Amino acid sequence: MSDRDPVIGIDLGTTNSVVATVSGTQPVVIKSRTGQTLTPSVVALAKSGKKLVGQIAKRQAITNPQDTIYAAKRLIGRKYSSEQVQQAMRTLAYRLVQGQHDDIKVAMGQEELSLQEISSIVLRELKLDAEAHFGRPVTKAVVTVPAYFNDGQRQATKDAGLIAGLEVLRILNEPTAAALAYGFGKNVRGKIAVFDLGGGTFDVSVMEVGEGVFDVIATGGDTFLGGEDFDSRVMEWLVFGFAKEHGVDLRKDRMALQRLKDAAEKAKIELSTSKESQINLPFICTPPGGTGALHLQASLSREKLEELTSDLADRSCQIAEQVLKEARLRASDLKEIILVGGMTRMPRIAESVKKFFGKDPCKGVHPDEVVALGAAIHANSLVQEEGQVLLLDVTPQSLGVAIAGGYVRRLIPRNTTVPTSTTEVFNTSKDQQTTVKIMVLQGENDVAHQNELLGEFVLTGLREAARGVVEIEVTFEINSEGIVSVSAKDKETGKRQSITVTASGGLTREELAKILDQQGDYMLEAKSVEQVGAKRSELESTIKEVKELLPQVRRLTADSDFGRDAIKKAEKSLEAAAAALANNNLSALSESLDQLSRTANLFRGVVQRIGNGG
Amino acid sequence: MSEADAIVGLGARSDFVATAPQTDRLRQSLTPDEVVVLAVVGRASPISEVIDRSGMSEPKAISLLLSLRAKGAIVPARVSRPSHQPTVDAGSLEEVDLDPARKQEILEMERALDYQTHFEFLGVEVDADTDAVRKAYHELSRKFHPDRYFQKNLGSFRGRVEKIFRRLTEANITLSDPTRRAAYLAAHPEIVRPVPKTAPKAEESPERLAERRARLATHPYLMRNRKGHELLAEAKALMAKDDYPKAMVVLDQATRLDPKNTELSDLLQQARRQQDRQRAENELKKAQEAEMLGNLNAAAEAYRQAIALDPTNTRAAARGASLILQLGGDLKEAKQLAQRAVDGEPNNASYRALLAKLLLSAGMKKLAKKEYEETLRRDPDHAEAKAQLRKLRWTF
Repeated sequence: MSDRDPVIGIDLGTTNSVVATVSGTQPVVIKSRTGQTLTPSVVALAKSGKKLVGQIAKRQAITNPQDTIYAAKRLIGRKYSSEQVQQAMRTLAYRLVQGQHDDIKVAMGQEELSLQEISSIVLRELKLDAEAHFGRPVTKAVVTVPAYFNDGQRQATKDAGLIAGLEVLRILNEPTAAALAYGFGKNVRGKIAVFDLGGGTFDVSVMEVGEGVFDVIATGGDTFLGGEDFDSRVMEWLVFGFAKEHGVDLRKDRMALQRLKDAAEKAKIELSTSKESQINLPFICTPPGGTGALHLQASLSREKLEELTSDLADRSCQIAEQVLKEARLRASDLKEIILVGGMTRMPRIAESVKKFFGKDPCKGVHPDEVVALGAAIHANSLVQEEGQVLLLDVTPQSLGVAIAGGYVRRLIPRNTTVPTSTTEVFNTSKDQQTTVKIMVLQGENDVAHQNELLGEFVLTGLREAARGVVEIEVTFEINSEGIVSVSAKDKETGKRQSITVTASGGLTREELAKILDQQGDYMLEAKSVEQVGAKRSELESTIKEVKELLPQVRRLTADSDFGRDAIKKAEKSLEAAAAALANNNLSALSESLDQLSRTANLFRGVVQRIGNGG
Repeated sequence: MSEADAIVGLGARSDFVATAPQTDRLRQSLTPDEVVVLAVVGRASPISEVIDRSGMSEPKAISLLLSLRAKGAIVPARVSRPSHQPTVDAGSLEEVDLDPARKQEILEMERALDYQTHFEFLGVEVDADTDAVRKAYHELSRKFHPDRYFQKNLGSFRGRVEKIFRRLTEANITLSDPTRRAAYLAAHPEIVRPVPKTAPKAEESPERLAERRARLATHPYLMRNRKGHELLAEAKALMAKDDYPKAMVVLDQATRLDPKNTELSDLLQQARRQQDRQRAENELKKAQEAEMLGNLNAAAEAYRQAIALDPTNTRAAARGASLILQLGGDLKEAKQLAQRAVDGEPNNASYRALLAKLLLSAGMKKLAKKEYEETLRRDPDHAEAKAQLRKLRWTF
């Protein structure tokens, strides 16, 4: 019986990504081929035209700001015209372009890539790391997203996985993953809170854990609150100070902006352990006046950083308060507070959390790795016969339909355990109305257009009658895969219309198919090149082993028929192997490898049994 | 129905009466005796049963029923009680990746969707606190959450499982939120709160005592207990008849009623083992048939299956091993199987000879030699062992 296919869990972060798996019974982080546990979520196009990913992409960011794409997660699945995107564009060093249906494209060199494609490049890198770890193809993964991601953002993340050649078994909420990793293998019982302040997003979830069941009671967050915002506060402070001193606005210079961003992040990290940080950026710009280059020099204290970002810390606690209220719990009901995300290393954040929840947060988890580990545990429990853990997750945002007057009627409130379904009867709003348009919305705002539109459809052929007479039954359903479907039925005629909300990640199905088509060739090639390489080196080492064993075996079996036969055969296999190596063809290589490893096994047996005994 | 059976103003004794909806305000105007009878009526019961269970004299019970009817607290009802006997469902014949016991459970829960209250569905008492509700919900989720059957072929069972899980969630949400629970109880007056345990005992009149006993007899906990005993007996009978699949279904049902009973879980394990053994024998027969028909690959697969089901089946292991050797398959696997056969029956010479042969083909002459020697010790006339041992002598 063959081993199960390997499954992995991926934490696709705003700044860094991590891949993990369950090995035996323990979840472990898979190190990158260069030995790192964190892979920066950065993609770049080098001057040479080569696509770079991860650490090397990040390292060249300063010299190549406009073609280095970072923090794609903040943009994925969003609309170009949305306020958050417009706001974000102001501080981004790379260029965004509006796509055909208000989606976002990133300009990288001559190409315009969707964010799904950018993220897929990071995912593929992690996939390759995992394949190097297992020594065989890896296709199944659980990918995490912030709990507060809406349907479009989740779908877009799933598409990114698809483009990277991964079958995304499940999109998992990050705080839930963190709780899984925290509770796995321990006999935890009770209610816990996960406070996840990452690079780009903030999430807080309250859940009840017991007997391997992780029941999410409530979750909330903000997809535009994270380390990047802390960095921008520092950047703004630097830019403002510089403008006051030299009268130059550094934001106009992309390269300066990138250096500022880098310096701000470094200073922020440094201030988690020290009280004061020096920022030195020589030759930050050369003003047109020809007065010579200007240098930026500043000193940032921990107090100043806390002052610059105090509203951000407060906002996170306000959200936590809201979530606790929705869970109908008091802070004292919680058994444990788990801190996740690099930003929770900031002393001020840890302090606020402690003050708010009234107890010391748990220190047992690694804030950078815990999410990926949880994803791996979930992936493993899904494919296992009798999984050890079970997640009861919730919808992070309410689902509803637009009703007359431009308002929303919510059918599935947020924090409802999935899978779920609900039905409600609506009436026509005008006399003689024969059609109704059903607009499916996600969000908490009472005004329809302030919510995310997931999809819409029209129910026609209603009986002509006075308003309020015709009854339409609307059913919402979220299945266990998280897919939303909505149907509307004319109660009288039984006429039915429905949609399954899928293509809302910004890419249409056709676009996705096209990308996959183009990727197909590339991936096939990449895979076979890697496989050929692996087989070659395996074959080479086997040849070496057989050649070493050959004289021993010859000596030991000098006067037997078996010996003569086997040695003749082995010599033939060696010849074939040499031919296969010259040929460099995958099937020839594997065939020869099979043959030769049998010989090697036989020889090893002979040497061990006879050599040691005789 | 004879005339004598009928009660004027109520109908035949076999007719049902039901508690009228919204009796909350009415309750104020009822006498204690009337309240007792109303409690016995419950959601709906046949008149004859109410009289029997009320613990009162028949004329008294009838007069109380009549006055309740006059006050509008009960109404005549035509109820077809759902039959609790498992009916044949097309679903039970469907080929899906579920064991028969789980399939049966799912079908039963699905039927229960229609008639059980939230309390019954979660299997908790009416006065259960939030913790108990959530615990029951988590326990049942472990069985009925669709993720338990991730990427399995469930056919129509996927929809059934999702439906059951949704109801579990609804029951959990309703019962763990005090406001919602109160609303639910108000909407379902037939759900009766159990009598508070602090009821003064000394003042209990014989009538009251009888009434309490009658009500206790219908108490879900005792009902369960009785049902559990019945199921246990049934399961034992089935096991005696070697009908393990059916026994497992019954035992699983019983375990659900009484999850802490170790006798039940032991029996269930025993039944499962026996069933596997039975299935292994079937696979073995299938394999031998296939081998005779010359369908060797299928035969090898069936042998593997048989061994997976029952690792102690030495015949399957030995035949499987020799077949794999014959097919030129994975020697390591064949060796393992042969080893298993030898371990199971250490005194079987032919198993030993087979293992020796396999060791020899794998190049492990020394071990092979030892195995052949063991063979000869058990069967001094074993020709193959003798011949091979002679050949193996050259190593010295």
